[in-house]
Amino acid sequence: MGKQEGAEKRMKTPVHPRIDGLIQAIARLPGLGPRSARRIVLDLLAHRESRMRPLAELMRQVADEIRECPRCGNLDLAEPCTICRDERRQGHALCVVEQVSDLWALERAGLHRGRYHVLGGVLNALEGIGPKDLRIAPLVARIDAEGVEEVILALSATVDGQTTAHYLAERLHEKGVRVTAIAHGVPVGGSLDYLDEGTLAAALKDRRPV
Amino acid sequence: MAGRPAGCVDRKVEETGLNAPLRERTGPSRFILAGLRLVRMRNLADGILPLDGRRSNVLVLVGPNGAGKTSLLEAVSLLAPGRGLRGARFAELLRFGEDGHLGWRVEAALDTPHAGRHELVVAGRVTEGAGAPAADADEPGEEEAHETVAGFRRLIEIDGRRRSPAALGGIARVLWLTPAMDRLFAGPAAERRRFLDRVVLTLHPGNARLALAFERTMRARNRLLGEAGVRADASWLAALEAKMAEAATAIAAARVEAVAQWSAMLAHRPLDGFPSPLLGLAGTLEEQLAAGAPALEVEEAYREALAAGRARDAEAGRTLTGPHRTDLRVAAADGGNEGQVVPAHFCSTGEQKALLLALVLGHAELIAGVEGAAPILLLDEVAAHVDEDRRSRLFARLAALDGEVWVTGTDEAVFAPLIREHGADRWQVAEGCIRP
Ligand SMILES: Nc1ncnc2c1ncn2[C@@H]1O[C@H](COP(=O)(O)OP(=O)(O)O)[C@@H](O)[C@H]1O
Ligand SMILES: [Mg+2]
Ligand SMILES: [Zn+2]
Repeated sequence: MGKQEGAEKRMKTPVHPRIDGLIQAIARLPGLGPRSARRIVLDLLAHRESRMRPLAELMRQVADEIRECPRCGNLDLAEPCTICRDERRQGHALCVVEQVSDLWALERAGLHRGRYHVLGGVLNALEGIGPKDLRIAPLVARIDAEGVEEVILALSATVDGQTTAHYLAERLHEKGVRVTAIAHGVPVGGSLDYLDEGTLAAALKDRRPV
Repeated sequence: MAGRPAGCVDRKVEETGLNAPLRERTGPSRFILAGLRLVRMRNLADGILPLDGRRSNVLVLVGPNGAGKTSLLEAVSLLAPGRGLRGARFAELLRFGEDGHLGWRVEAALDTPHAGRHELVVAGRVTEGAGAPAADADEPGEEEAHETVAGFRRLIEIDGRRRSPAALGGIARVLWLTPAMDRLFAGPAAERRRFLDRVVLTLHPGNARLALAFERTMRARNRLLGEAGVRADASWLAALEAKMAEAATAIAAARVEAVAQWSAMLAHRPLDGFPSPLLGLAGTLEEQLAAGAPALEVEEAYREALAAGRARDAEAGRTLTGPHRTDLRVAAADGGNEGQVVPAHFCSTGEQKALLLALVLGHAELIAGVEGAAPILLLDEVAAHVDEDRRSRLFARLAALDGEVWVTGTDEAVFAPLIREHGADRWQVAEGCIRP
């Protein structure tokens, strides 16, 4: 097509495969593409001591030390995680979220006194993500093990999020537990992470049985 | 661009003047285009259209075949949600030979009845990063088609802020009729359904979300049934079917309501000398709702029908019942022929065109009634297959609509009444250049 793409094709040759490999690895990260990846890599190479090495060391440390909590799916140094070990947390109210980022958003807002359960995604038949790919069986197991009385579904307002909420409600009703879902005003389709604290608080307060 | 005739509107980005005050000519109760700027769109010259110099909001665009008339209407149609009046891919709108990373762009200053002037930008270009697929993943040997088509994104700005495409539905109302729609009554139901759903969408812009929800859950159900048949996870299917039924009922209810309103308008304001269109909906949910069944019952019945139809749908490889199968039935009630009702697909080419014109005009008048403001109406090759008597009656109604009406044709003479009697402006389109 345009001149620019032709130019990019030609420019690829002088880049050493090692650098190119790094660029491609970064380009695969969420929210980034090849252009931003090139910018990042060039910036890192220009600041090797002040940015690149500390970043590499941090990444190694986090990769080595951070664990996924076997109980709730949170990410923490401790195993089970700090939230699961906290005796002051109310065990009877369990809040189900899609991602760790949603758990963090609720924690930042200090809205939920109970514990959490991270599903690790939502049902998505089109991408082949089914119940077995999510932490659903462990969720069901926790109901009895921890004496949970209410499960609060804090899933996103997307079609997939709401389908998953419906699915979980049906599975959990069999356990005789109260199931509620947070209220989404105007369905925004975004994750909880994007909601401000006031909206989150209102959504949690206005939760309804499902 | 090389080879442009002199006098062509062609200005720099910096001097767009879209924010400059335009002559106060428009009443508050219409959707009026106060400014329009085109960049790298099809064969059209880059530049600003001198819309503020017009006498009237009725604009006749005259030019030979291939001049760019349809492309200009298409550019305006992109101010509404969707792919515009040609239903083109966003990559196809970019002028041949231009850089996909720069892309195309339509900017408009639109005066709306309730919220004053909005600045709209609809642009399409190859993007990377947030949400985009690996559009320019530097994979060697990757096909260019992938880059230019799959990586092509539409970007919307409303009053300087990035918005979702659906947000356009809350701003502009744009209706159109093109020669490609001439075969609407003879063609597949899917096209009539799309035509109907565009009408529904102009009355209930929020419905776009429902259509997407239904589409997505149905595809998911089809996938599950396709992979595992009736052995698929029953709770998962039930969850999908519940969401499908929820969306389907809301979609069907909106259609029933829209058709009732549309029919009432058509009966209330018939287009003299034209056959009167009679509308009907052929679809299970719509028929139940129209017969007065409560929405909750209809939803429950559809949910049960889906659950009962799993084996059959698995066999068929698709969902066999639902609002995605609905058809809009149109018939012509001939005013002269007492009591005679003829299904539209039996009508002659000219009669079908007359029905379409009556339908679209009725839709425009319905919006004018509901919103208190006539929509932007784009009628491409409007005079084709329309006899002189009907033309003059149609022109009078278009002028009376008192909104933004753009019509095109190759032959200026047929528009003489519109220009002389109703004071419409006439612009010339030639080789992509648009001149008053
Ligand atoms: N992406 C494009 N870039 C440049 N020219 C195009 C593009 N798409 C179509 N055209 C050309 O633009 C011309 C104008 O088409 P159109 O607007 O349909 O003309 P009209 O409606 O006046 O007959 C046609 O000759 C067509 O080949
Ligand atoms: Mg044309
Ligand atoms: Zn934990």
